[in-house]
Amino acid sequence: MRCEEVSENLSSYIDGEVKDKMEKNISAHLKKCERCKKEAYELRLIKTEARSLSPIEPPDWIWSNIKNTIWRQRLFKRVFAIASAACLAIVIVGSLFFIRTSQKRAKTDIAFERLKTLDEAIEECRESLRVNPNARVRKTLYNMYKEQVETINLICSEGRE
Amino acid sequence: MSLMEEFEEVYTKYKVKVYSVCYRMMGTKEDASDITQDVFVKVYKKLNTFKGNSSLSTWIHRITVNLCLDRLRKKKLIPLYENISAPSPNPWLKSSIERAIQSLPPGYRAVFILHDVEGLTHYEIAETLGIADGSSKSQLHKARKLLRDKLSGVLL
Amino acid sequence: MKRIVFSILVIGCGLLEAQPYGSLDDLTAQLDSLTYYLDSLHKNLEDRWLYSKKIRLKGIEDVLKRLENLESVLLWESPFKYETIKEFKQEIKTTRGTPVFIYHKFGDIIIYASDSDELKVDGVIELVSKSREIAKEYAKEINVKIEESEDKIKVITLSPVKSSPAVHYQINLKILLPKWSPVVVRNAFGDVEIEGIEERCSVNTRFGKIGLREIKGPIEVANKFGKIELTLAHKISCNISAMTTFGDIETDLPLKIERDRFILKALGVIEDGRIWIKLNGKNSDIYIRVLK
Repeated sequence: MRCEEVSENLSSYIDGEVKDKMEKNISAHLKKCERCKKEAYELRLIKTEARSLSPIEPPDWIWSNIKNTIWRQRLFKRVFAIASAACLAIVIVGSLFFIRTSQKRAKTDIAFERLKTLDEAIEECRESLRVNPNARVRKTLYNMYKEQVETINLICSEGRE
Repeated sequence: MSLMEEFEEVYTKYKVKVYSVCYRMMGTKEDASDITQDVFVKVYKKLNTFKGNSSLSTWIHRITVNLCLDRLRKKKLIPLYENISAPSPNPWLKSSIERAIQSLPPGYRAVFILHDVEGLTHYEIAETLGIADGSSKSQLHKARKLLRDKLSGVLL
Repeated sequence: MKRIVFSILVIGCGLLEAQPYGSLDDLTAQLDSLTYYLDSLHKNLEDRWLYSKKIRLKGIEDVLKRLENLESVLLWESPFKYETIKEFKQEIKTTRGTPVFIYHKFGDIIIYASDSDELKVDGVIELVSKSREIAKEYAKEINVKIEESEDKIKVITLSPVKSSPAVHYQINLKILLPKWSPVVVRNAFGDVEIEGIEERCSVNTRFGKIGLREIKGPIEVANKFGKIELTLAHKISCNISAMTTFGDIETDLPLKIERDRFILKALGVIEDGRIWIKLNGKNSDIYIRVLK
């Protein structure tokens, strides 16, 4: 084997990652070649030294910092989420409420107007009842009262719970 | 166990690894501390999505190295101890080698640290850095060669 | 349960010549009481925000109960035993085109159109009273009078001057008019139906239904608390303007329907828009249909 080829594969060789055949060849070459032997030795040294480098302990305050950051981010996220949810909720509820109350208000306004007409009608029916309480007049009066109660009921559905 | 408790366990388990890699990649304690914090804050956020430890380790390494490389890129860091000409006797090899590692180009530096310092396999390194197996091997070889050149005065 | 018992009592009383209420005064008193409660409910409506839902609904429940009690009284078939039916006929000759004014109350009016010049009025008076004497007395006073003058004919229903709780009545008229007579009708507590008149029809009633069929002249209708039904001849050329408050409009014609709160309007021109049709309802539904 030539030195170039050996040199290329030296890392894998010292890592034990070459195939058997290749290993035998390189091994044989290293026995003969001083230059490559030296290179292999030095590469191995680097690897060993690197491997024996001691782990470095992080300072303690890093953990506190990490926790603080997490809490801060959590809090901010929550506050933001709540704030935007609250805003959205206010907008939705506000508009729904507005729509609903204005719809209801419109309904009850109309109901009030209707009540006026019913009041007048009932007056007239009762006048006629005095004169001629025939079946027609009585039935009409009954229906007028019924409608009046229903209209008042509609208005009363709006109000305090 | 609450999320916080689980997280504390993870921190305790990986803090040294992460900090060491950061310090060796970045060369300064400040950068190492910053990046370590960033790494673990990210870990916390994603902690729930991890089941079992196997992917966690790889993933933590990945974040660590990526953050380091990012920061190095931003800093356009020129290795401080590029030209180590002064030879030192073997007892100081360790610090020499640390400085020499700093002089490696970021990509090689990462591979070297992960393989020779931290003991990851080429497969793991490939997963961590998102490179091919073969790339990892060749980069490691180049890193070692560069270090050998840098430390030639010291080694002998 | 109470109602069933009460109804049986009424029927029983009816058979025994007794009444659910002694006199009109009793009914009046009960109605006054109901009105009083309704009025107080009405007044409290302004303050409904001050009262809780429970109190508000209780008020309504009270009134409904009173109304329920009155129901059997108001809706009974008369317990008065004596029924009289008086029929009469009147007939006059008209000059072509003379408008006819009909003033009526407490009964239905059906108007038909004929090709002759004669105006015929067929009336049926139904009296229900406590006794034969009272009935006879009243029957004498109820009449339909036809007044002729230069420019118009009036058909007036005369009611008894004094009223009595012991008698009530209904007068239904069937009138045959020349089809070329414009007609004006005023009625209350009764339906009005007109068919085939080829001149102007003007109807103003309340508490009754108005039905106009195949009228070929301009129409002007106003009603309160009673539906208005218009059936137009096929391919009639008209300009329709209908309006009702607190009511619905139903039509198979292509009319433009607008709503403004509780006022509903339907407007449209059919063919050339030759004939004017104005419908005005208050608490009345309007139906406009075309004969195919």
